[in-house]
Amino acid sequence: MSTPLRAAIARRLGLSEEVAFRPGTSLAQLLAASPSAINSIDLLDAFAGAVADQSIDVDFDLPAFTLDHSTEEVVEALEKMNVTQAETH
Amino acid sequence: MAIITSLVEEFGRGSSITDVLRAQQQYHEQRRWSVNQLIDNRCLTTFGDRDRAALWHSARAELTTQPAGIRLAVDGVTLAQELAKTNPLGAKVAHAAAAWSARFWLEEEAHHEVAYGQLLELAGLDPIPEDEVVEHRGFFPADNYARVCVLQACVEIEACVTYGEMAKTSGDPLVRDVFFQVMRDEVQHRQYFTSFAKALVDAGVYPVKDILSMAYVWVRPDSGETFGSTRKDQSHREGFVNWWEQVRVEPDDGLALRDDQIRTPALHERKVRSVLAMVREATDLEITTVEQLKRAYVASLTSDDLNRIRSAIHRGDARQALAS
Repeated sequence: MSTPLRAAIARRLGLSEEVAFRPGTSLAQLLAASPSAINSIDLLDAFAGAVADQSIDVDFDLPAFTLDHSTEEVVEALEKMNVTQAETH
Repeated sequence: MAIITSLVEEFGRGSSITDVLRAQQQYHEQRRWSVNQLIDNRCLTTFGDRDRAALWHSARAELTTQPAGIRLAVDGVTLAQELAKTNPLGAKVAHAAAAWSARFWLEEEAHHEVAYGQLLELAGLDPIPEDEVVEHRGFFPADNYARVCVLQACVEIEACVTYGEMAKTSGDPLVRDVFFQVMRDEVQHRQYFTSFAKALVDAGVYPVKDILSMAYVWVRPDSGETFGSTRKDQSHREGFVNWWEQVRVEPDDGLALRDDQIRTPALHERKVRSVLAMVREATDLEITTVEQLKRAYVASLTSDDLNRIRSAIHRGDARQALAS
């Protein structure tokens, strides 16, 4: 399902949403697929930047992950965090 | 004689690449020391398990500097060539960084590798096996140059704090002397890397986010690189070694580094304080806490304007003050 957050992540990584969020994709695979990302810091830039794109608030907790985590796990954590933040503000 | 901390200003005053390289040479010569003169005809007298553990780790950690130095030397020249037409100032900075890495960083780090290796054997430990030496020489991965400079500044800080602690607390005079001498070099290296990262941002080669991201990834609570091998989740790596991820910490391991050698709250605070000082020097952003660093980093992902980043830091501070 496309959401503004997912669209922003895919855009920041230079990928289509279809490729970025293919079920079962690990962050290592996401990194390999991206034409612009070099390493996990670029992934953090993309995830954190996508949340920042949705919000004027920069006070959110950035989830920690390794390249073995799945893209879905990280995005779900970010979406949960985004919802919590929207409810708080 | 001192390190040129603002290369962009230096080039702006009319200095050439040759002028900067001569300044590097002069500073290097002024600070040189000899491993052989420091160690020859001396022996370890009052050393113990704590010293052996420190030497086991330091000797291996220093092996990984060579691949990083080669990476910075080669990629620096590549970057300079890429920038030659579009950003001549940035190209000069890249040349200065590449030359320093190739000439002085590699040479000085070779001293550290040899000094710790010799001391390791004087302490009765086996020489590092050849396959382990080769493993530690794996190619350092490519990354954007500013981030690699910040990473190396953070690694130097890690070394400064842990070596400094050994220089103060070891019971053996030779161990203390070697750790102190190496620590003095690492302080200078941290300063050089900070100056290169700053200059690459000042010259418009990279955005400030590349300094902030790497520094944040180093010190972020619980999962930062500074927590090394104690982190719950570790990424699997092949082909190169991040020594801080291989620090032995198991209590029943005689070669494990004890908390008071690398990881007490006081040592951690010293490392974080030093990383934040490095960020301030490289960015001109007044950042004194990890929380402020995180806010600055997130703000830098949507704007490269330093005033907007400063506003984001201040808004967060105000919110925090209201909440407490």
